[in-house]
Amino acid sequence: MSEFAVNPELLRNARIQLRPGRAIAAAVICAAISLTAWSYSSYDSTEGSTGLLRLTLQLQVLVLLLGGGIACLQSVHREKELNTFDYQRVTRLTSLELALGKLFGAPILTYFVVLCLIPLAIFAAVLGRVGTLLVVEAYIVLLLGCIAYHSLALLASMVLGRGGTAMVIFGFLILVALTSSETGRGESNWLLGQFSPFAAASFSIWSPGMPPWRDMFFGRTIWHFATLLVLYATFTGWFLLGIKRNLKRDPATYEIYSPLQGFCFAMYLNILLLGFFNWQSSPGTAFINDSRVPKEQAGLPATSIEQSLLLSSAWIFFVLGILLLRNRERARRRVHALSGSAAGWWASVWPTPYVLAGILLAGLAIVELIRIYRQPGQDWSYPGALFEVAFCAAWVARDVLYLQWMNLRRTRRPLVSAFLYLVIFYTCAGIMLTVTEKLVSERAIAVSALLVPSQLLPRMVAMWPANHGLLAGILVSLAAEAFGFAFLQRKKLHEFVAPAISAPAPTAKNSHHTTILSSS
Amino acid sequence: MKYSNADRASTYKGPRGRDETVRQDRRALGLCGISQAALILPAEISRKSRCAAIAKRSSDLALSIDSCDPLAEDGAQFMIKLEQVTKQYDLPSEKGGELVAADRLDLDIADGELFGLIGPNGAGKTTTLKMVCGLQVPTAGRITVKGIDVQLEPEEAQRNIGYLADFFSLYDELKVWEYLDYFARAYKMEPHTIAPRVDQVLRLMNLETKRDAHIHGLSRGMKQRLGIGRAIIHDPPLLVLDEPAAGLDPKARVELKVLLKDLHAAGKTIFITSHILSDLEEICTNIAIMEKGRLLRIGRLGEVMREGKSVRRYRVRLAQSGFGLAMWLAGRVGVTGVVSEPASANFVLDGGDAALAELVKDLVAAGAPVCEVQEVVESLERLYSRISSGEVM
Repeated sequence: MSEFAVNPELLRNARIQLRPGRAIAAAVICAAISLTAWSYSSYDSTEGSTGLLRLTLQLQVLVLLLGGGIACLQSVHREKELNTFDYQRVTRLTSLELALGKLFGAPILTYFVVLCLIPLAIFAAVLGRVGTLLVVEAYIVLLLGCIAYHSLALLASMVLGRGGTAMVIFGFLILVALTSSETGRGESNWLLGQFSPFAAASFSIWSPGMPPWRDMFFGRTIWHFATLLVLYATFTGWFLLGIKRNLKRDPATYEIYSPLQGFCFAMYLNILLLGFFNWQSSPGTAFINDSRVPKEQAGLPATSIEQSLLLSSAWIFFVLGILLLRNRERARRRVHALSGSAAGWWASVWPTPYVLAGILLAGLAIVELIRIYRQPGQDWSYPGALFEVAFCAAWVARDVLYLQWMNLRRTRRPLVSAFLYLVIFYTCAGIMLTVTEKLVSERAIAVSALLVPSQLLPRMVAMWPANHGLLAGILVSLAAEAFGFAFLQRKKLHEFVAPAISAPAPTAKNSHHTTILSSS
Repeated sequence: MKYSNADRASTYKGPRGRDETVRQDRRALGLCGISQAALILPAEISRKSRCAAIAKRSSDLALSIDSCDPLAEDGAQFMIKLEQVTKQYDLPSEKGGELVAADRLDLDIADGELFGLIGPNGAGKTTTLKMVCGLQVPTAGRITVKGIDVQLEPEEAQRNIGYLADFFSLYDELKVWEYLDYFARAYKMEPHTIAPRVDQVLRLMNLETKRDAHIHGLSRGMKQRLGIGRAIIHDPPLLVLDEPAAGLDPKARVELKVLLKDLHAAGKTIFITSHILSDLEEICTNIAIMEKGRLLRIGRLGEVMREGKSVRRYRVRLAQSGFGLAMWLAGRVGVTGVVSEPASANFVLDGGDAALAELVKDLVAAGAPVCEVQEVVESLERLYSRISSGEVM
């Protein structure tokens, strides 16, 4: 703990942000806010006091989550722009020490503001007769939740290129907004309560007469507080792992996670996805006698569940594939290290082995869980569902291989342009196929899946019994497309291999003689 | 105690992977005339540093630093070693494809050298320096600092390096002492040594009066000195300085040169780049000329200057005119390009020192009142421009 307190990066941030003038100004503003809130609230009633507590907690979350998050988003990125980051990289601070210093140092002023508002919260809690345990729980959620979001912001700051700050801040705000909705309270099929640290404010209004706030994980009931602690801790761990691996590296060689770590993270996300899904609600009936499970949502057919979960998993592994993409620098270094074998067929299908394995595993899990929990009717086909999994895997593999090939091209921001081409392609093809959908046969639509596989997904299970051959042919064609991109990638890799092997090295001698080098 | 002047032994991994023990004799440096308070000696001080100190103490300028460094001569001890180091960048296709910032560089810099790297913008100097510091990863090749592989053990290698970037930037909101204190802590110095060390560096950098000033209020020269202070705060044996004189006024440049000489005399190995070649010419023991990622020349400054020329030009001055020096020289075999002046002449002579000695002997025998014979040395700027324009290869 004492070592953490003297973390140089934390100390530097504290010295800059908490100079006496600035700290006193912040404290005075907080005092003024506290007095204003207190004077306007009807603190003489219990409801009024709990309302004041809730408001105070929301204000604290807002300051710490958004203010601190934005500070973390700028922490590494700004240092890079100021050219001071290299000096930090050459010090003896480990990546983790530097990361922790930034994680708690960059938002240190917002921590101070939260601290200044605590007296108001305590005052409101005492007047509102809110249990001490609830207040402690609320602050634990607030603190750990904000740390998890700050870790993500720090990770984003590390990988952020020049000029992307505004866009990333906007993305961060969207993420906060999305995760602040109370998904477990009747709006969706997910049995997980509010995820963001704004949940802290909800803890404070719970009273003994109210039902306990619980989540469901694979049908088991879990205390929401415990769920949040585990989720915050694990997400913070994953994000810090990514930061630790890369913070002191050359930015050109950033690799957020090793392939295995990335695969495990994607699998972890899939387990959360499947775990918090409301599996046991059979069509027309709610799984638990709880108003939290919406009647209209409880009866989703097995096919829809399978497709929506499969697509969600596919997205997760698509993102994994993007994280594992090799850029030209990495490909070049591999070629120098491994010579010809860096351009073999195994290297040419990178990173599809991880993507395929992940989607197939997750897909099989989804199909099995549907069989176990939903007991689907005649309209659902087990082989058809398995085929759907394979189809999704081939689709994602094709697109990831396309991105990998494009990422090896020599151009400015190759991955961005590859994404743009992909988006344009899907948009144009989607419009064209939607327009012609009514005019052509179902079999023709099936063939169009060679271009836009999403066209076929909603029809696949229905088509399966009568069109095995056609669908299998489409799957093979999709795989062939993927191999086409692998072939193109192989050609690109060979371009790296040729000059690295052929050019002779110039002769050179050591510095103790005057040396004239050949200028071949 | 880390900064005591007592003798001590430290072990480090040698360039061949073996552990080597260097016995430090800090008392030898105490004789060199540099204030002990101002200069803290490196933890793993080298034999060469001791030689430098002894040479300075005895005012024996004829005693070459290199000549008393057998370890460096046999190649056993290098501060920096580059082996086939390559760095390639991508340029957009419309700009010509790939840029090779470093093309299979082989370079050894011995312990205690003040090594200058010269080259035009885009030659690959900054990339090379960053690779040495572990800030950029080479596409291929290996770099060691004090025998430690920079790629495999970057943090271990970096403890030996003090780095100053070309676009130096400081934390403007910090006070001067806080800035040095931050880096002293970041380099994990013993807590009780940090405050005295900060004071020492402030004295060395002539910044004692600015101790409590905010950095944003400093002049550029002061900021540069503070940057160098940051680089030496942890007393590294190697300083890597990228264009340290850029943007400084003449007075600040002179101060910088003096500071670098002092640091070098105190045993630091300095690897420096600069556009201001006259500065390097005055302070460097060795130089390398780099262009388009390649090292065109490497070696001791004087040797590079001589090797750069295909012929050697001399100037002979007589005590009085009337001998007919130009005519005498023109009639001699091996002498060309005679340029006559009153009582002196410039000429080119084929052959080495022996031919010159023979010529002087004959000239004196012929009755010429010779009072000075001098090799005409061209400036580093001139040499550099000839080499980089391809006149000399």
